[in-house]
Amino acid sequence: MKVVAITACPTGIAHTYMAAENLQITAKARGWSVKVETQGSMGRENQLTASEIQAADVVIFAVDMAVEGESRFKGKPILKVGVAEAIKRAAQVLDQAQALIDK
Amino acid sequence: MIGEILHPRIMMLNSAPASKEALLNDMAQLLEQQGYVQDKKAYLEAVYERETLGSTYIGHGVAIPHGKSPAVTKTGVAFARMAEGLDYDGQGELAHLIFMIAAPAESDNEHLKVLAMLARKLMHESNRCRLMEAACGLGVIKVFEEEKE
Repeated sequence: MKVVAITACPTGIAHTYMAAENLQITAKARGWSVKVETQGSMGRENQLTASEIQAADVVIFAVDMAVEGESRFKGKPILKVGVAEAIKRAAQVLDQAQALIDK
Repeated sequence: MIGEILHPRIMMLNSAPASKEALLNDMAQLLEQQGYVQDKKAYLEAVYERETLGSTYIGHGVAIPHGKSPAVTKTGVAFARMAEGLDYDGQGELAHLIFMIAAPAESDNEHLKVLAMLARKLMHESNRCRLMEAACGLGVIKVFEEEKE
C-alpha cells in the first residue's frame, strides 16, 4: 500500500506537524509506504513529486484549510479528514483510506 | 535552541490546577514573569481565541494551547505536568502534559522549526512516557534534544 498525504492547519505551528508524524508512524507500523507533505508555518515542505503522486494508491488530505496545489491530485482517490483526526485517530483514518480503494 | 524555548523556569512539573482557566492563567503568568510575554492578558486573549476554533487537546493526554500575539516578546513553550490529569475540554479525557506555546507576531524560521520538531516528538508514545517520568526540567528538555531514531 502506497499512500501520500498532505497536512495543513490555519496557524500551522504544531498541528500540521503532529498530524504528519502520526500518519507516518501509523502507516509505517502497517508496513505501508508513506510520504507526507506539510503545508504549515514554514511553507510547503517535503513536497510530493508528480511521480510519487502517480504511484500512490490513495491520497489523504488531513487539513483544516484549502490544500495548495490540489490539482496535482486530479483523478486519484482522495480521503479528506480534519487535521485533528490524523492526530487523534490515525489508525481509523488509514482504515478509511483503505476502504476507499477497496470499494 | 530548544533550551531557549523550553526552559526549566517556565515549567510546572507538579501542577494540580482547579480548572482549565486556572491552568492557562498560571502558565501565562509564568511566561510573563520570565520575560517571554509582556502582557499576559493580551496573550491569553490570543490563546482563548485559538481555543474557540477548536480545542487544542490533541488526544494521548496532551494539549497544546497556543497564542500568536504581539504581546509575546520571544518564542517560549511553558510546560505543565499533571499527575492527576485535567478534563481539558470537558469530554472526559484527561490531559496530563500541557505545552503552552507563546509565539510573537513575526516568528523566525529557526523557532518555527523547533516548534515543529517538538510537535512531531510528542506523537511518539515513548517520548510521552519519558515526559511523564522526567525527574526535573532538564530531563524534559532532554527528550527533545536527542536525534530522531
